[in-house]
Amino acid sequence: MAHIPRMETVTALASIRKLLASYYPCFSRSLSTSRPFLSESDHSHDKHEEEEMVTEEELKSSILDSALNFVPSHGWSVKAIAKGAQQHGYPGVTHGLFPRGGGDLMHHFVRQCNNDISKHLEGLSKDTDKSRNSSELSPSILRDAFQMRLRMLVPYMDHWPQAMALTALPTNIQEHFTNLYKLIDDICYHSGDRSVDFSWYTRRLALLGVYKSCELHIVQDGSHDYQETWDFLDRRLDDFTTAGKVKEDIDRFTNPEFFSAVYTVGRNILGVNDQRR
Amino acid sequence: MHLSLLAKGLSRTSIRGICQRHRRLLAISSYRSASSSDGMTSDELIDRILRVDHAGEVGADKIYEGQLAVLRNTSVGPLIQEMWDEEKEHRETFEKLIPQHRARPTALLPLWNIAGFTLGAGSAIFGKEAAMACTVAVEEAIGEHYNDQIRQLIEKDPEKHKDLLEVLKKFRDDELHHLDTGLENDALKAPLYDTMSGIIKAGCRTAIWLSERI
Repeated sequence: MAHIPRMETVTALASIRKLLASYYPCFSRSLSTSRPFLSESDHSHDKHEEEEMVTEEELKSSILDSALNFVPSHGWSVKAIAKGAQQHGYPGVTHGLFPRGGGDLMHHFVRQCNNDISKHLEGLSKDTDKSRNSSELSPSILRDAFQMRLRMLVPYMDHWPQAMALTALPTNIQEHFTNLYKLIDDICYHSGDRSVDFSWYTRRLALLGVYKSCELHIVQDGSHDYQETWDFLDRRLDDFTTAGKVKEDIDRFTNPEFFSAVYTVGRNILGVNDQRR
Repeated sequence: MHLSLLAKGLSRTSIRGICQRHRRLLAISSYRSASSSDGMTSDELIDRILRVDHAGEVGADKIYEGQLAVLRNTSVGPLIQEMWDEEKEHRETFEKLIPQHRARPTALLPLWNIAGFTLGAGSAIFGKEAAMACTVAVEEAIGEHYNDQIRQLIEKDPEKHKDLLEVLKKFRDDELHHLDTGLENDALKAPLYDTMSGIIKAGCRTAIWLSERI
């Protein structure tokens, strides 16, 4: 988990530490360059007890987790992060730990959702046969995985268009695609894909299209329990499965033997295949 | 009879001598910068290694297929078939390893399919010495490349990557065996050997560089 922090992060953290030290004297004890912060709640306990040290990653993670509670009211913004930090007893300026503001909050949420889906899928594939035939993906696993992932957006549906707009910002694009890649790769792999040729790419691109179109559909869906979106998802997955079958059919007819057979039949028809016996 | 046996023995040792001299010349004259694995995690390194090795084996598979298409009924036909079978085995191994390590295959596979067959058939059309020369050039590039990868893995963590290292070492030895076979079958007698060898090796290194990334 330890990594070398970037200069901007280091200077931002240093300035926050100084700010915290001036407002809260208890923090002045840990002005060394070491990572751990003292959590506010322990200040009230007996000082001789062991101090609970929190690493920077855990601290950021817990602030963002609390900030998610404030997204319905404040959107994916630094306000939500500030409120989340305040819930932990830190001042609102702690949102400076997150240079991308709302983007960081959104990426944290997306990473969490993707990890949950991964764990769920790994649990599923343990039960099923490991040596799956890679020529077809299990439609039931696909549908359940997509539905489960889209349902995770439901609590934040009002502000999800704002999150989608945030992914277009240059600072967020790369992580957005990395997260998407991981999500689609996990779903594809655990529904049975073991291909090692170009269909590795075509399958993932197709599933990416399915996911994105469903995401766009669900943010404007007003039906009860998003039923229209699940029907839309089913139709898209049917298209995906049909396209796979069409490709297989085409492959069956584009091998060299077939073409040489067509060539021979053509010559026979034209009468130029006069083989003297 | 003794004279003929002596002649056979001499010719075998002289071929071995040619092979060794050739490899030494290679080490001195070739200029290559091996890629460094700093800044990459173990997983990224394995992803890259599996991707490029799979691409290499697909290419080699197609090259032998192309050569056999032209030279099937000549004296080297059975030899090429034997080498082709070994490459097929290598390819199957990587096709098992890639899903196992959740690696990504290269997106340029259709390109390597076509290019490999073209190279194999194209070199075989100039005769069986040219086909052997093509084999020698490709196996040299691949042998160097496997050695680089083995070095990178050992630098990272030899214990953790023991299985993959075993696989890579065995395949490297197989490829060098193909190289020796090619040399034994008059590869050096091919017309314009140095030019052809240089072009093919440069092509292989470009293909390796591209497949590592794309």
